[in-house]
Amino acid sequence: MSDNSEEFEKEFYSWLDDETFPDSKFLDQIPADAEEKVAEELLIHGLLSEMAMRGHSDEERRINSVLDEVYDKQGEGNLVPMKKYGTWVGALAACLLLFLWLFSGSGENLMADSLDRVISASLEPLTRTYSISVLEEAHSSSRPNKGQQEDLDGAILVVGGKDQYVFTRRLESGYTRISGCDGRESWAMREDGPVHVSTDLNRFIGNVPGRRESSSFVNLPVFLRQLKESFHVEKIDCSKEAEEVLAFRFERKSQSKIGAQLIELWVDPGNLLILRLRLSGMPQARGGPRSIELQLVETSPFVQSFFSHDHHHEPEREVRTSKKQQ
Amino acid sequence: MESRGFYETLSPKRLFKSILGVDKKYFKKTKHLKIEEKKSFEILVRENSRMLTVFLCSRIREQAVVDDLFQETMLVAWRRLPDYDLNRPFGPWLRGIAHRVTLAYFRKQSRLPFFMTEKINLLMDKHFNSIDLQSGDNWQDKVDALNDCLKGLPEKYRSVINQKYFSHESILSVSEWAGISLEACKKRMQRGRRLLAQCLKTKGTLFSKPT
Repeated sequence: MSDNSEEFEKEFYSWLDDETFPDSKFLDQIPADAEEKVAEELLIHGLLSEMAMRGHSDEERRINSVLDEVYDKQGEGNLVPMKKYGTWVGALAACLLLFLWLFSGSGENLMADSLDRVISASLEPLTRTYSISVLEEAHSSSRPNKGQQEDLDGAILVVGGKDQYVFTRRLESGYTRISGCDGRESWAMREDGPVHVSTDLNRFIGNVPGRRESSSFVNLPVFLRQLKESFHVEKIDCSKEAEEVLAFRFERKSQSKIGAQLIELWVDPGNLLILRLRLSGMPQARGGPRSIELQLVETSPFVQSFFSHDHHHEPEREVRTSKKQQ
Repeated sequence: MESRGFYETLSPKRLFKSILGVDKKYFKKTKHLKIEEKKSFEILVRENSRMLTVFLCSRIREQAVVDDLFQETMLVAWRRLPDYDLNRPFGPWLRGIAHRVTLAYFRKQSRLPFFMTEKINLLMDKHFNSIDLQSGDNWQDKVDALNDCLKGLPEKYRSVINQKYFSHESILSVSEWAGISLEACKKRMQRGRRLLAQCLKTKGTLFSKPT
């Protein structure tokens, strides 16, 4: 057996069985004489994993999440009239857009500038504390891992710089779960359990709001840039609000069902801090609410040590470390 | 959920025709049949959900990602349904979509797409096709031999597999539980899975080369 074959085999079984999985150099180099064995073992692994997952009624939940989407397309029956008048509607819309563009100046550029300023402000080292409220619960009643289900309503998310956050929420069992990341390693613990630490920064990101927007809310500049690129942006008219705010509505461009479909953002025009963030039409595949809101409750100077797990538990707590997974 | 009656036993082509009583090209253009189309698709989703989950679990370690890719694959299938050739089986078509969706996921994550080579796909497809040819009305019937094979495993292999997969223990915990070294535990897992594969091949559930 060549060195590469031995390395491949070692990494292959590590991929199958280890909790911790090192960066791989060999897994994409399957030796020709090992392909049949690899295919068989992958299939057995898939069969066993699927069989083991069934105990959590995940199958029905997965199916329902698809069917919800399929049956939700209520407007489809009206496509024919739309097609019939589509040309006229399209022409009218184009005229309207042209009119708006001519008479309102380059509104889009102004909006992009405002958003760019919010992105720049998000780079400021500052600790921002957000309180989370659930606005719309899940339609489905399927609740996996009863007792371990997280209650997002009342959860607190503290965001620092890039990949620096602490997220605290209640479990249905009454315990509190806290997870976070200090930019170098991520960690998670239940109030009465060991601390799990990983060099994979996304390992414990779990239910952190916005996690599906390719990056997450815990990495604000990237999150905002992603919104700018993957969503249609429009400014919300806030002239009737008591206090002056800058507000944006982001509607997902693609049909992807991963992540919220609609995101609204309210910003303080003075310091460009995100005051409020609302995520609507969130995916239901893993349960959880359909719509939530984050409200800024406090800002404080940035202190790096707050984002380390040591800050949140007693020194004698057991710490279990794992390395980055692929 | 396991016994879903008559429609489950039909091929996709017969399924659509028996529910709709019409040609697919006709119902595509007829809006009042949309609901029936959705019902037909629901049956296909239910019929193929476990197969798709096995496919994804064989490539992806994180259950949350399996959930997301499952949904994405099924929704792509729903949108592409008009392109689906009713004369061909639905399973391989769905796995083709799952393959592309999974590759796109790896690309987006800037991760290497492990085990996604054409050869591995072909080999796994042979096994999936072999499972599909087993007698039975649903996936559980078709892979029922796996339970027999698990029961027939020597205790030392069966116990570690049970702990790892069905008690969701880490390999380290399993080795401590079994009172053996980590390496020995990994070897047992490896050997146990090999024995399961051999057993399933003997029973005809998995494809095996004619000798």
